[in-house]
Amino acid sequence: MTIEIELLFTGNELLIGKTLNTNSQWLAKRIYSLGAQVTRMANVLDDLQEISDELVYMIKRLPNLIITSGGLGASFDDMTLEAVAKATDRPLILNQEILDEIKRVHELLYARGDAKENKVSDYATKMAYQPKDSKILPNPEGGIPGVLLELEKNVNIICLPGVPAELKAMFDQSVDDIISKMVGDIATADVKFLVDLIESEIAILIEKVMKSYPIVYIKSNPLSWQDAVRVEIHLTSRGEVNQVNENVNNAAEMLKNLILNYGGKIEEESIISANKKQ
Amino acid sequence: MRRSDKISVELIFTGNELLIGKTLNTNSQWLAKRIYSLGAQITRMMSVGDTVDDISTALLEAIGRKPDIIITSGGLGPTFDDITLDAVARATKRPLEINEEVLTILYQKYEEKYKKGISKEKELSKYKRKMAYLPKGSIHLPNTVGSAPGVLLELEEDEGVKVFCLPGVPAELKAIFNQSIAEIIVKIVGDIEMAEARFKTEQFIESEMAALVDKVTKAYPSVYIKSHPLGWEDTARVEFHLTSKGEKIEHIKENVEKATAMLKKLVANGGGKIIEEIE
Repeated sequence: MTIEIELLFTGNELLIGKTLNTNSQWLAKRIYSLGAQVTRMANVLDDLQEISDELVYMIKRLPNLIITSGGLGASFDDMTLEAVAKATDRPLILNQEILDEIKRVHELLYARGDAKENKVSDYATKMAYQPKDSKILPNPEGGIPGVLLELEKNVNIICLPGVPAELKAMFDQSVDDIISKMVGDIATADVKFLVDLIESEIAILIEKVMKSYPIVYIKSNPLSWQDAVRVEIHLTSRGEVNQVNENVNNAAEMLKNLILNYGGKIEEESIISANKKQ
Repeated sequence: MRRSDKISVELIFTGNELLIGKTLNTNSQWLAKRIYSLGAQITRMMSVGDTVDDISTALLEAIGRKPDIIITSGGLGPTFDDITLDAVARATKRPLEINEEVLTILYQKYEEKYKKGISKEKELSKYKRKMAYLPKGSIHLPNTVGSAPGVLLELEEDEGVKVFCLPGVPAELKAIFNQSIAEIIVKIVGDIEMAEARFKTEQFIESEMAALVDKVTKAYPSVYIKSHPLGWEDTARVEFHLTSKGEKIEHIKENVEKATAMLKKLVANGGGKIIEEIE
């Protein structure tokens, strides 16, 4: 059974185009290489109702995991945990451990002069409130920690910061393991190459190969056709490690033969990669 | 005239390549920037896989929120997993119908390719013909870069929500947007003014400046002030982004300037350092 994961990104900066969402690709790639599948990504405004509405939609589809990114900070429009609490109908509870850490950091910042007040502000204190029954995901970059919340029906929610360095560090340290455990023993493999045929004519060849190898997913992406036609072909599959490599290799071989027979050229080939995860 | 800040746009991106991280979605930022600069507001973006179920579910959710405009990107091409128009047809309960104009355009385009030797087959295969089937009632938007045309469908039954379908290939998406969609948005939005300002600060933490932001927001409620923490290893660094838009008589630019000056003064008086250069 495929482990399904939905991603929820918050932040007006994404919706006005100020920031390019690079976290989405980074997370999707990591999750895919772990043998799980991102089934949906959503970007919403910094608005309590919008975030919690989207969470409710996501929870209803019963994915194994929902990962949110952004909105854990101290400013007035950081409200992801409030939205999680609202969507899952539970209160926010002060986590003393986090508050102590916020206080410790604040003392350091005060000593350095970056904090002007000798006591933690309400805005900073807000960061210590987590939805009831949450577990803490440590932040190795020193920022605010993340949250892991297990709901009924095996739906889990993980909340990560939007700052890329923090998101990545927390994924590497904690989330990677959580997803790997959900997935169990599985491997993924993929092969890519370029073809000089037009996409609509490769379509029929791809269909033939996918009929023979239904476990292999073949995607074509047109790169250009103004001067020279170039279409990128990408074959992917997942399953038991030896099986996966064999299937992808065989399907790629079959497709390449069909393309060559049709009069096309294979332009370039990238390395086959297979990842096995325990 | 409707108020400009109420013109809402939702974006739906289709493509397994986005969900496995093979492709970085740069269309999202390009569209967001363009749409924002035209005075409309994107309220949600979604990325879903190449299945009729997933796409039509996302469409139904979006239609239910009654935005002014929904734009889909991807899935208009000839391959088996190009199924956006099937999904639009299903979600809006319309049949797909062959569009003779599009068929003629496709015929011309592929004939040209055949003559150049780029296309190996002379007749239009069913894969190519597929691109001429549009949901009933839609009009096609010319694609000057690639084959598949864009599509516009107005949902009379859903308060006139406009659904635009664009290809996922960035050059094609941009060309169709610029040629056919930008002016439609401008027309709906009307005559509005926008302004923004940015600056960075050092030596002052975000959670303490939050109280200052509150003060400025109370004085200038039409100005949205967003702070982005940039790190605190050597010194606490924060970026501020102030934005506002509205009708001309609302003194948009003036308010952003005044709000910016007020915030800078509060930060400086509080002991923070203002850094003007923004890359």
